[in-house]
Amino acid sequence: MQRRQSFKTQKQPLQVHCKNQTDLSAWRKGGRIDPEKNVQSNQSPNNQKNDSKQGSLEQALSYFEKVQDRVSLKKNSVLQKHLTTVESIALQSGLPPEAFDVLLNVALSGKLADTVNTRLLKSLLPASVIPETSVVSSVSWLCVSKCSGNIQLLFLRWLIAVFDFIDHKEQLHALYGFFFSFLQDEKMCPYVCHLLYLLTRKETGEYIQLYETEYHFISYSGMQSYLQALLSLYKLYCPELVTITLPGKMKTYFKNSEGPWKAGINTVRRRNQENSPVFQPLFLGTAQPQSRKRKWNIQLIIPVSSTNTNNLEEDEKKYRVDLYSMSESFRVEQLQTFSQLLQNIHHLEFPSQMGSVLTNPLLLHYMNCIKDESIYLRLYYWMGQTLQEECTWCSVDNNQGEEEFKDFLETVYKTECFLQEGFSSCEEFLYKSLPLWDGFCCRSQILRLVSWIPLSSFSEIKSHLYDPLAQFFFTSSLYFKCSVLECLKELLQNWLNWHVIHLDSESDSQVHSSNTTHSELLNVVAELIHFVGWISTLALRLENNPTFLLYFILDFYETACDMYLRYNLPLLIMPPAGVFYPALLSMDSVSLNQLCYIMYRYRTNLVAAKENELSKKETVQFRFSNQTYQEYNQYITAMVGCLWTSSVFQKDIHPQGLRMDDELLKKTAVQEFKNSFNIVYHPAMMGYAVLFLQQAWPDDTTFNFSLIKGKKWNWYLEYLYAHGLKGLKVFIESSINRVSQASHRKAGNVQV
Amino acid sequence: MASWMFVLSNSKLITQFSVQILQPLLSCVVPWLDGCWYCSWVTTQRHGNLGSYYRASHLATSLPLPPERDHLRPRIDLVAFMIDIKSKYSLKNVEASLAYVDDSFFLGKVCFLVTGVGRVNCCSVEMNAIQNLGEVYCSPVLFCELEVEGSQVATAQRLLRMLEICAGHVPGVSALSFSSLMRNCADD
Repeated sequence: MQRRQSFKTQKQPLQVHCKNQTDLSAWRKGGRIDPEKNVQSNQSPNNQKNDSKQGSLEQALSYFEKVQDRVSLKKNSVLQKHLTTVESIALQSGLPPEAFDVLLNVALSGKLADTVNTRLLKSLLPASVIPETSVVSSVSWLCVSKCSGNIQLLFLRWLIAVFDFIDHKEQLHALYGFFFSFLQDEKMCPYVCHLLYLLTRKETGEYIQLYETEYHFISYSGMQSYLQALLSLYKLYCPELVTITLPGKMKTYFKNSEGPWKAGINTVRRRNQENSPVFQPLFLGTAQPQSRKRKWNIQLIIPVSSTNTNNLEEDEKKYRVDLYSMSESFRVEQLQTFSQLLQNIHHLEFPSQMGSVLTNPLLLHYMNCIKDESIYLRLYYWMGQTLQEECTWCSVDNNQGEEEFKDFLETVYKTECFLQEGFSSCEEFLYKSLPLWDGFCCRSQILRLVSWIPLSSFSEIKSHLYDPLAQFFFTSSLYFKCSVLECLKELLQNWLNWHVIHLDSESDSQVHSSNTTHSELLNVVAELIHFVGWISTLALRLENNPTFLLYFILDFYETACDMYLRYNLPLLIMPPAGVFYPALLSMDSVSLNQLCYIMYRYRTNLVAAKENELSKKETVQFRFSNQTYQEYNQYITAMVGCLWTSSVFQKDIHPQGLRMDDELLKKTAVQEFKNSFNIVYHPAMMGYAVLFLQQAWPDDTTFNFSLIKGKKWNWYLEYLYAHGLKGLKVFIESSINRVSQASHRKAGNVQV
Repeated sequence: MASWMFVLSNSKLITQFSVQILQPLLSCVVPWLDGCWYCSWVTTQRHGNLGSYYRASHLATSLPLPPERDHLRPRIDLVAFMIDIKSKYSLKNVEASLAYVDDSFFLGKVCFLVTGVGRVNCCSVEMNAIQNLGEVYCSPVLFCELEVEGSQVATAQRLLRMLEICAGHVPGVSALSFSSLMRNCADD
């Protein structure tokens, strides 16, 4: 398979490079064996530069290893020099794994002053991975508390920021209890909560009982947001332990603590990828070796461990058997194919960086079928926080990040399409940011995300979505209006699809759907359709009835007219007069054709509903109101009178219709006003009539439309159908009774 | 502070002008965003013979306007108050000057343009206060970020659209009906 191949071809250079990273001696010799593909002409000066850099780093590290207590920064220039070396190398290319042990030991042992320690910690940017052993030893320093409180806090923040770079996390999981005990410290509590949140796995939940005293402490010490997050995760894993009810609304749970390192990490990553395009962390399933990695892709990568994967499996097995004797869980990094997913589906361990799920179709499959609430919860928090932080019109500093934000929104949209449902964190983000939106930034992505807002019975949608959308709608260009209409049409379709699926699953589980929720859903859908009808009417007036806009409006109603038969939703809402009449009297045949089709579908739905009601096949929980039938009848009278019987000005009974007295019509000085809107004389159809006349009477140069009658009328109809006016065809065949083939034309409206 | 007048007249079409007029207007205004507020209004007047439009936009920093120029001032179709969300001073001055605006303007010819939403973290004006302002004066509130070029253009286009309606160039839609549309989403 293609995926396997790319994995293989990437693996070899990866190993070569990694060997150098882990082999300290080779590195210390100063020779960096570049991977084969990176052979450039200016290799030697690069090597020399690298050599000198590494030489100085090596010196700095050996200095720090041997430094004695209480060396003051100001007085000691050697210390300053080494410190700046470390900082500059960290910013340029990141520190190699070996450096972390030494530097962390120095920083956390309290040998040097706080200023030095702070600078050291802030420069701990990894080039590739961070060895777990160094982290474990630094945690032991933390327990001994030789360093000051501020340094401890900074260390915790660093740990959270670089959590994904740590190669294994087994020992860290073993230290769960130690971290748990740090919760008691008030200052450390928020960061420890964040760390525990990242560390908690399903198996850990069983051991919460061991920490009962601390657990009670955090339960009763007040509902800060970070504690809430941790508790909600515990609640998912062992719901019987957590008895407190947690508020449903999401807030930003964890403060963004990774500021000092965030930019640095991204810079280092970018630089490394520029230098060695071969060395890339593995994507799962998506092989894009040539694409330019951007910030989002970077965050979504699942970092791969640097050691040989064969050894990894054995080590893991050993650890697990010793420490917990749990069943072995399948690491997500090794997931390559769908069959692997199926084999290991019961002990799949999700990565702690939930964002990586978005680009991985295998994990998405897993999410779709497994009812593990914790995954949704973690994805919800992560997505909500990311969307809020990176939203470009809420944080203008991210000016160059607009492209990346657009890509991110695209990814979220594609994931929603894959899963065929919307994310609630996305919905909340839209509600919060739409009122502040300028209608321009990331426009198509935002509108596409709007179309995936899930159907729910809250009435928030009116004030949070409809009002801001209406404001943009009225003040913006024609194209924006059309985009909004298209997005609302897709929203309706997604809701209807969801309803159908939900209905099926409900009938399967034999749960009786309560009437209240059903009617609430009907209300929400009805509200959407009324909203679209309202804005369409106004838009047509504002833009002076352009065909382009009318197309999108009628497209929406094509979905809305078929709700009963196609989606089993007992709702039928006619378009408002402000949409119907402009379509009926429009200047081009596309709109007229669409309108005919829509009216035909309405009729089909109404007839089917009536039959069901009369035959009492199903328990009739609804019936369309008389008002609906009346409205339909008014429209159909107008339409048939207009197109067929040439009597629209007398027969139209709609209160906003075309009924006009003869005297008024005579004042228009139009000669033949009676049949001026039938299918021959209608401005939209006249082109066809002319072409037909040219074909039927090629010698006749006077356009005598009255020749089209009797048999020729039928020919004319066939001519129209042949030119793609299928909507007209079904409308005429369904709504018009023709008595005979004789010249006398009689129209009969089927009163429903 | 001196008031700045910018008059333009020729026979080009509106669409070509929408960017050229409001964009330099708005981009000239941006460097003034250091705690001062400014009030600008844009008018359109139909040039009888040619059937084309010329637009004049006047920019001032405070109301009331100096009375000497009263006879030169054309009919005003839309008053746009710009509020910088990072400066409480701008909000206060807008509130103070609202008292000098004739009541008839509030029937759809006033709008509030809030800029600086890109820096929500450093905003010193409460969103609630601005929404309140919009409700009390029955006028729509538009948000934008004038430091981003694309947003400038989009906002200028929106303002121009509103201006067309307020000046009566769209048949069947009056300024008052339009402002009531903007303020609430009516139920059927």
